[in-house]
Amino acid sequence: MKNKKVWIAIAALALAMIAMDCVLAFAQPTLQQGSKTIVVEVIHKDATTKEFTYQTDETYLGDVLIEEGLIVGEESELGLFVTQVDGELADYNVDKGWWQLSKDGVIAQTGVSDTPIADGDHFEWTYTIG
Amino acid sequence: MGDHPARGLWVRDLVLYALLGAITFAAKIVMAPLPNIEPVSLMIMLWGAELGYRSIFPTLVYVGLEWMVWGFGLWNINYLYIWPLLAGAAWLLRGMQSPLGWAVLSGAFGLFFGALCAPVYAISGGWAYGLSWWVAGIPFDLLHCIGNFSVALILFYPMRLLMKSLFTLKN
Repeated sequence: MKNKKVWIAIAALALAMIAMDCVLAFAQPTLQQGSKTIVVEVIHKDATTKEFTYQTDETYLGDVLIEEGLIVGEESELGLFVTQVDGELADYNVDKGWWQLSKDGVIAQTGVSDTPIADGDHFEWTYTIG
Repeated sequence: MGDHPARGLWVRDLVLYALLGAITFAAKIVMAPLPNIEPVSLMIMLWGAELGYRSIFPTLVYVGLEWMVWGFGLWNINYLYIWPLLAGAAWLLRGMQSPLGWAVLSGAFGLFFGALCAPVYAISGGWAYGLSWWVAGIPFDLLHCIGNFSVALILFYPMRLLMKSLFTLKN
């Protein structure tokens, strides 16, 4: 009887895993192929802003920005951790500063390496304290 | 100051719980290079199953060490309730002998880790932010589930036996 309960629990766990996989597949954004034009706005620590326009065939934002030399970062198991944007380094240990990525003013839900791009997208990198 | 047995036992238990919390943290650091394998869930389940309500002490020591080393963020709030929740679940299931059963508990905890953390992000940034935060972390939750299941299946039962025998020696 006890073994039966354990096997039911294992089956439930497996079903939960499958369900979450389905949620993930359903929520994945569709990837746009072909040439796209995107705008990336950088808001520096001193509040000055710069805008960069890129035309690219890349699918993910990280690939474009690395190729264009706009960002520098460290690879981690969670993806690229961006430390430098447009030549400005953010060091959390110095001033609790870090670079925040957003799209049309909304904080990005994925890292720069996993953020897909579409034609006309507008991204922002904001130097953030704390 | 006389030798007061009750106070001596109290101090000894405090030291023990601090050590258990520190061992949990150290084990996590040592196993950090292994992808998606973490011993914390296993150890918190052990403390919960064997120490009951007193498992809150090594759990909070572990959480405190995490805060001191990794700094502050929303995850600090997550850790305050997630790990005690696991310890509580382990205590409720303390009579379970099946290694598979403990592996399922650990695997389920890993699978729903993101979902358990998401409410804090939802409260802080809105339900849409919390939901998308959870969905973005699902790949890690799936790997966490498999890692936790495997580690608990192999190690929980022998470590529990070891813990029981060590506590028998202590008393």
